[in-house]
Amino acid sequence: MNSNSESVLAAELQDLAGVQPFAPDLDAITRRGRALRRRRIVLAGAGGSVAAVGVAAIVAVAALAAGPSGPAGVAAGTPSASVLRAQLMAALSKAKATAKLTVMSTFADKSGASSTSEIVTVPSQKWQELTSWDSAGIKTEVDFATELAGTGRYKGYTEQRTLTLDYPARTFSIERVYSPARDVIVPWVSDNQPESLKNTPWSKVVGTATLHGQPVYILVQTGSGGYSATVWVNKATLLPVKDVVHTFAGTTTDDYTWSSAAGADATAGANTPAIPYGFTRSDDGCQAVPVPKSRNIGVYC
Amino acid sequence: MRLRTRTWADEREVSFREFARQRAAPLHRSAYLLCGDWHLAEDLVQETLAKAYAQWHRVRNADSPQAYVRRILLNEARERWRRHEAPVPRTDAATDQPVPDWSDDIVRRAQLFDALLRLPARQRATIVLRYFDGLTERETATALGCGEGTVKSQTSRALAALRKYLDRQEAKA
Repeated sequence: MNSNSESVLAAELQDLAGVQPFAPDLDAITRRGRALRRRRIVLAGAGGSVAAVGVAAIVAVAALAAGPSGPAGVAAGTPSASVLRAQLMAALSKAKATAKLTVMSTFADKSGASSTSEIVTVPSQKWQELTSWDSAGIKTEVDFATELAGTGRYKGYTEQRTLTLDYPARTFSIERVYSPARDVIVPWVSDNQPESLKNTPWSKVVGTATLHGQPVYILVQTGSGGYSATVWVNKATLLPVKDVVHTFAGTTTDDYTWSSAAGADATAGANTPAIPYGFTRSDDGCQAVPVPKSRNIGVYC
Repeated sequence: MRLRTRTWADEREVSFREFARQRAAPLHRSAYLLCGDWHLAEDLVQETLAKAYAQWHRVRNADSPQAYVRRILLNEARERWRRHEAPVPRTDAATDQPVPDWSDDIVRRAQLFDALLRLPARQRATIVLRYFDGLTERETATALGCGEGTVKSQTSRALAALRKYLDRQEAKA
């Protein structure tokens, strides 16, 4: 096809799409975005497409990751990448429903700026906490989200309540979102398949090592575009211990701690952050809103 | 109203909102060409921007925030197609007989749109990125997460499928 036809096509597409007015609902977008941010937890920090680096880089990453014991190479009995990934997905699916998970995640962009967050999730207790620090190590924000049964006019609905502490501003706000559809707002249900574990053109178990005292497999996945991901998988539990993902935006490093969700410290009440002294409320308090019929409605009170 | 010092969180909010206001309409038009429905396109853009907000520190610091968000949009569209919300070709427009008057252009354009929506998802995305968003082959490859060779082959196949509608217009011109 010649360039004239291509020009015609470009013009036709412009005509087809026209100039349709569109004003995004920014409040709804940011509300949804905050919920998504909490949901990104489980391995979503390792998200982004995974892509290509050379074999030398892979070996370097593996060696770096191996810790004190160093990579042991691929021994007999080491599962293939596809088998390990399937086992990891199965273990994740089971653990995410019951185990308490703490993810320490650091993102460093190409300019060297970084931010760190800790996300604690207890699915069985229906709560999640996210704490963020800036690159100077100053705490910037704490979000605590929990799920409750709606009461009063919201009886039969699900309520997601989020307490946000804004440390620089020394303010707090409480958001309540009611929905007739549970799965819309539950924050701790992560993606069915973490992006770092999606099928990629190339993946391999490059060896074994000991990391944080745990025997691990080292799974490396690559694709096109200059991205790479490495996941360290506990040999016994087949759960992730750590991952490092390089994307064009920067590098994310996640450390995972899995533990029992039982015990008093796992309950939502025990973990709700107290409002620090001197913090003032920044939202407007209760507002009368209709009972939602088919979509989320945020209520601040 | 109480005044307060602008904070880190405020900066994030302000920069995101400015970005969203600027990019929402172009994204909406691209989404429409990808899915064929203005309402679905609106949903796609809302979800895309929500995802951008959720990882705003990454988007903002990316080499090209626009490219980053465009990629989120494509992924979101792909997810929906995979689930169940495949674009529905406008078969009525495709089967209508063109009439030889001023409405000829409208009918032909509807047929072109119908043909576009019938393309496989990746070919359609390639066409939208290359000829609507005006990306180069390399930029398109980056957005789609594939090689430039794939972009070339996908473009070639898509253009072949659309050729008869374009030839007609070209001959008229």
